[in-house]
Amino acid sequence: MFINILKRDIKRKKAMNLILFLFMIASSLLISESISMLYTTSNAISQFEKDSNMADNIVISLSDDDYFTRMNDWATNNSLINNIDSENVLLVSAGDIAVPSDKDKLDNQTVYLMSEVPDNYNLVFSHKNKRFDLKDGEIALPVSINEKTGIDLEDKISISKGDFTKDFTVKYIVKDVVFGSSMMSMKRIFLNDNDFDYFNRSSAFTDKEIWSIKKNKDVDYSDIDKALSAASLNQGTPINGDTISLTYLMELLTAVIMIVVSILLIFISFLILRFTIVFTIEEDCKEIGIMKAIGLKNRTIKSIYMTKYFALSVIGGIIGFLLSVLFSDSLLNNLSKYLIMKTDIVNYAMSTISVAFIVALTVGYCFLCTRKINKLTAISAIRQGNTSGRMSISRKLKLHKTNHLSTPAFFAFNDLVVSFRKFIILFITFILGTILIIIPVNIINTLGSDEVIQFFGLSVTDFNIGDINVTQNYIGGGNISDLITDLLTIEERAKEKNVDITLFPEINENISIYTDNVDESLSIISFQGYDYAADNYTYLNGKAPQEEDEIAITSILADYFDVGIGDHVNCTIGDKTYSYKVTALFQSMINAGNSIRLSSKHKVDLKNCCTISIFGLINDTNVNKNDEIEILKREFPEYGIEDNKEYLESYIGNSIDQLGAIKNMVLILVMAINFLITSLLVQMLLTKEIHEVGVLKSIGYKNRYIRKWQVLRIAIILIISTISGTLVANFAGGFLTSGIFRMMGATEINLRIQPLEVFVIYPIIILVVTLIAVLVSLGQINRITIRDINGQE
Amino acid sequence: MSKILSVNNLCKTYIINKRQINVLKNIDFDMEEGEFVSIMGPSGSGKSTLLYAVSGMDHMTSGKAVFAGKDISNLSDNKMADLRLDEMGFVFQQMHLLKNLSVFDNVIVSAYYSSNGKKKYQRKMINEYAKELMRKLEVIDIADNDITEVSGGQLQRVCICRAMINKPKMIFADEPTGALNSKASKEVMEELNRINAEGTSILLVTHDVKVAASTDKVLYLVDGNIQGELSLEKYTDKSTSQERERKLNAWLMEMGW
Repeated sequence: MFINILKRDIKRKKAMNLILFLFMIASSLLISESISMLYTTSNAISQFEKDSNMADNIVISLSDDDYFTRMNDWATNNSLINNIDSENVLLVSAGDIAVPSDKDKLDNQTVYLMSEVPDNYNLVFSHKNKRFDLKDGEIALPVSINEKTGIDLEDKISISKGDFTKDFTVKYIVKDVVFGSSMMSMKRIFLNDNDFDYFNRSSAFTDKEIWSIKKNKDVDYSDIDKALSAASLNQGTPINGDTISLTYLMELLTAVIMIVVSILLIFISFLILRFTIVFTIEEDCKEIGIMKAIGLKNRTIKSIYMTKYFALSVIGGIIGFLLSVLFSDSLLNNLSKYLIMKTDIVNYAMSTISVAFIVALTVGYCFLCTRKINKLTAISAIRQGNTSGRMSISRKLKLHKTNHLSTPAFFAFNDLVVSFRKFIILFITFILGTILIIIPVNIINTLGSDEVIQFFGLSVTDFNIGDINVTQNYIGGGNISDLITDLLTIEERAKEKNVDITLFPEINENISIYTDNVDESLSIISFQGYDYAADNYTYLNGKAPQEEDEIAITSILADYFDVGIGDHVNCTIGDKTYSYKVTALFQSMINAGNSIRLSSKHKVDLKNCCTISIFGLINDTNVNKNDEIEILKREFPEYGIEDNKEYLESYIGNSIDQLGAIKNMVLILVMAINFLITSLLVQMLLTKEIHEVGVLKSIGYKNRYIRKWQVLRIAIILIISTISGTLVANFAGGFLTSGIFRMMGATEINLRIQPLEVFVIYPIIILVVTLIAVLVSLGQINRITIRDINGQE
Repeated sequence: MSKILSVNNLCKTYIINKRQINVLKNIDFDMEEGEFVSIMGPSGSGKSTLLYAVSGMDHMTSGKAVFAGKDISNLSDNKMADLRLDEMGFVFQQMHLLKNLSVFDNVIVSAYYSSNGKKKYQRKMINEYAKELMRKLEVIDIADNDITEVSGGQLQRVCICRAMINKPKMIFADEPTGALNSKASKEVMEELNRINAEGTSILLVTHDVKVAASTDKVLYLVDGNIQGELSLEKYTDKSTSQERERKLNAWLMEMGW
């Protein structure tokens, strides 16, 4: 009888067993892959940091003698510091680098640092993970440039500034731990010593110094940052081991999302397992009763069923693991361009352990599900599970009280009311699937919208001047009035081309901020729209800072220092400290939210300035702004004019691309899950409902109306779930994703919802795929005859 | 009287494990309109198979069956479904009611599905007719109950109501009393006789001599062949029951029952 039950199960439920098996494989594959990927990626980041002898804290300063002396003095005999080193680099803009005509242009917003090949700290490696040297005329470019522009090995590029020009052949595409991540807005390009010296002779290039600090053991990165702040040596955003690891967040995010999806898959697999086990036990109830009646123990009976699930779990787990080993290289392929990836025995061990854990969990869960066998007495089982005297309160709808509903539609609604529990798996799967699709879509749409500039703490303007040559001479020195004169000249030139514009600089200064204890100060940057009212920016709370002693701070800083509107904070700008009253809170994804906004009355000293961005407004409201921007781009290519979208793309373009890839991956996975689960459930329900189908046929129902009942039932579930999922994703999506945005600096994000996309297109995709699964699975309705419900002579 | 059912050369063959099993072999019989015919025979003789083949519930291997002037041997699935809906009624031994519907809804479900059951006023009329039927069969009191809450005899009478709801020309009944005790069995047969008296033809499969004795004609089936046919008088008077049973018993003995 044992063998017969198993044989019959395998023979009759081919599709169900196959789908269960596929789920086991997929769960094991994903969990194994994601754990291995998470381990490999995080391990690769720390290993890469070690191999590169990465500095613990990095400061990028101007090459200034006074700063040089102060920094060295500060580091000498400092108990926190083990070693300090500096390296001279030259600033070049995208406009200074000519690329082959068939390649894409370099990104204007990226700061390019020309450097010699480092040989002490922050080492770089070729694409073959080897250290390298360069000869005269050879250049090494980071992977991000190769990816963005398509410039590859042996391509020719030239760098020219003023009278200094030189052609180069791309010799290496390099991995750079500090500046290599796609989130870093600075990139190093490498020359040999002679070529570097050649450009270094030119005064046209701005010199910068990269300070590499090695801390003593037991000292935190933040201790060094605070000490630098306290000594007014902070220059721009502090870069330390933690922040560099954070720049690889998007790379880790893929692995984390895969883990989330695999947990979801495991959860769904368990629901299916429970459903199939309960279903099988109900179906075999009579046999179970007979086995009990002839004296078989519960354990023995359970083992019949457990054998199948044990085999499914173990074989599925092994196949999943083997597939994960096969696919891991291709999944890590993109990451290995940026990092030095090593797959070692620990990877396999972790994958094996995670798969073994899943298999054990599955088998344990199956065992729990078979507890129903304990509850059945021999006689109740023989009577097909009917226990005498058990009456449930009827929740049935009344057909005779429906006036217009067709009978298939009535059956569909009635089933859902009467047997809601049977359909819970579908509800949960569809809702979760919809949420998983809609949230990334909303994030992508939000990041791609025009309003996203407000999340950066900036004002909505029409365009930006991207070429850093316009502002380069004023950073770290120079006169603000000269900068304004330059901008007026540009405005005049635009006017000559019949484009009426107003330009203003958005100035960022290096600042230390603290409340009471100067030793607890934090290095941040300030924003100030010069000659541009602070009212033009968006604030979360409070009023725009108007007076010289008023500022707005980000809610991240407000939380960090536990201050609010009306409180005072101290800011050290250059060598002077000022007390400011907080009048407003805002959010900014620039510098991960570590920023403040000064009022327009603040007297700016460009000596403390770290960056200047030039934004522009088209004054004439009666013209098409896009056309005007196109004219500006065409007439003044030297300014690298960008519209809002292009400007923001340099900050978040890569994140949007990665999110897009994740969204597509999730969409395919969810569709596959929906398809499989729907097929499985429809087939199982149909097996259970053969009696009803046969009865309906006997009283004259046509196959297509029986199909209509089955399709309508799933369609109702699908529509309710998709609407619920879409509503949850749209209205709770902001809350669910707040953690990710907060890490980036934005604390109050209202996700932008594209109604057509999230309320129409994606729900329709989900509906169509799922309904196809239903129709495919309903093929057997035609084959059901009265013989299936009636023992026939 | 015209023929309601005419069966010629009907064969039904199953192939099981590459072995051909001829369940019905060249069956021929006719039924007049308003006739009440029972099929008897030992287990495995092919009684139910014959019932399902002539009612279009199952396909026949060869031969012909004409029901109400329509050759059902080559009707499409859809046309056959229409026939079952409008002109045939079925009563099964195991009742086969839909468990997610109340007793009353089980009675009306096929009428609501038919082309005469879509409009509100039509449904109202169906409800009234269903109540009338249930009243006649004395199951009106259980109309709102679940099917799990009523007795087997009551359920079988509900099934007869369901079979009658679309006013069929003929009812096919597969051992309708097979799962009932003698009292319930008697009640059900009384109802079938009453329905038959009102003009509905009935073809019924049974093992029960008492049941068969209340029909007009008995076909005796052995190994897929009609071995004999016994005509009885139209059943009108309960007092003749014992006499009919005796006559049938004697004939069955001859047949080897």
